Amino acid sequence: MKVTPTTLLAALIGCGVVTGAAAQAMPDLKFSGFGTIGAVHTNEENADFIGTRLQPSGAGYTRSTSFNPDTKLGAQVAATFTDKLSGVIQVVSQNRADNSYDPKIEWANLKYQITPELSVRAGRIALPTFALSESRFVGYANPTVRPSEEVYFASPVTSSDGVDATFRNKIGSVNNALQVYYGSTKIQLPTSNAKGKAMWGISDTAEIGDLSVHAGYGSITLDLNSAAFNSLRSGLVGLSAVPGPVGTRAAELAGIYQLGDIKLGTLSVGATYDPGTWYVSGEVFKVSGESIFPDNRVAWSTLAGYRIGTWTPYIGFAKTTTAHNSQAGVTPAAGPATALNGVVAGLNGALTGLASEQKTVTAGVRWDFMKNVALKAQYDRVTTSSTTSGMLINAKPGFRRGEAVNVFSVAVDFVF
Amino acid sequence: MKAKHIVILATLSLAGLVAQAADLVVIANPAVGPLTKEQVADLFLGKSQAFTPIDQNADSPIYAEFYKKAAGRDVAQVKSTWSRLVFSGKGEAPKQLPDSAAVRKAVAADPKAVGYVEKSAVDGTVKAVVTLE
Repeated sequence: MKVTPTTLLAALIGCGVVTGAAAQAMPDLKFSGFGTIGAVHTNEENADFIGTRLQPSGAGYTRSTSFNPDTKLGAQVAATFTDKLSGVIQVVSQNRADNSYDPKIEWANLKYQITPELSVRAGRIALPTFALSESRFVGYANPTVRPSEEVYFASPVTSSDGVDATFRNKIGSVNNALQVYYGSTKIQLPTSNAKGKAMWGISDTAEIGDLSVHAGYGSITLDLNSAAFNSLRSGLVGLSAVPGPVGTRAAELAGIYQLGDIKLGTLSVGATYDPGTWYVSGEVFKVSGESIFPDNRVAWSTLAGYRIGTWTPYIGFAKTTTAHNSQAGVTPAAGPATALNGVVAGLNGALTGLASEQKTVTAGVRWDFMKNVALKAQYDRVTTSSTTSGMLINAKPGFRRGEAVNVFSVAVDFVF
Repeated sequence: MKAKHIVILATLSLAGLVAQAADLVVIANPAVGPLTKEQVADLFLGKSQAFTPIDQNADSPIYAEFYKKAAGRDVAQVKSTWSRLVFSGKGEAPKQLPDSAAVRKAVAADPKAVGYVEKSAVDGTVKAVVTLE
């Protein structure tokens, strides 16, 4: 099923009119919103610290202090048509791949409650990839300025156009919610875009008193469109016509580095324990990909906070490592072999770039200084691996890999 | 003499606070079965959808007192929890009514409703399920 925001909107309004007419009343509408005004400053001058994977620039090389990484505004309308039928639309404005703040429909879906335990939704649905993925943009709902980039950057896909079903039940003292989804999506990154087709996944959240445990598996098949990889691939395809070992090796590599039907699998396990005055949480994420994507990337993060009145100081640690391939060219390097080795060098450079390994030590404080508003101040010490520029982008030749980058953030989060 | 008065006043107001504190009662429609304090906390924090929670005004003292006693959470934490649920499309925060009389009336009218009021506001139209101390 192909669902566009426009048809969804029409469907939502249509349902509202039909149901409203049947019930001889307007649907019950609830308007709410959230936002963050955040500034990020870093001492790094040769690379940019960004707030989401989709942003083209951030704090560092482009500007030493930037509002782009964290500043955002979201608005939501929830409509209740009947006891069983409801709908929700959420629009978010934040710095995007084209450097605009154009609002985007994050999700818009209709929900039908079949039984008290079972509900189904159709439309644009938030993906349950991570423990916080459905509320990752809602700063006020999250303990830190932003969820761990090590973990949350591993999958930039936030929503799915399709269907899902959720089964909620109580087993003893455990409140359990099991969700399955199927759909498709489009992803726009600064220098590439991708079509995610045949996305499906399963996610389970169990709440046992103050303990919340989340586990999810997701699968996505991508068609990638990236100028850099398009040219690398056409180089390989061109050279595969050369007779002898050069052609054989080029054909072999062209077979591995496809741009269509790339399969990615994600696995996530997270837990939070929050008895009220303090909390600890942790999350582990693993993604396995084909083609140019690392075949094994692991990320994990931990966080702990302690509440003293309206102040909540917190500390965290996160790390991501990647088992990434590099490919060999052919020897002796002469004639067409030189050309192939050039393409392979470009390929290896790109594979290393995608590995983006780093670790972060975080310390900060949240201050709930007034109703519905929180102020956060946070320090992140980001250390990239010695071969990659981590989650930082626009790395210039002067960027020193393996050295710590100091990132200072101040954010005001609000809900209304 | 003055000091003694202050002590008496302080004791009286403390006693008042304690009395008020012990006076919070979770009420349910008579059709709702027995509930534990943990089940009530799950309902009001969106962890359980078994019944329909009816809330008091978020600015009222009874609201803050209820969440502190039932769930060990202050007003900002409750708001943060519901923000996560509301903005992930997982649910809507409990409907807030202006006072205990309105809560009692709503609970009496809905066979799935659960609310909380001062003990003095409980009458035969609803049943008391948990006393929060």
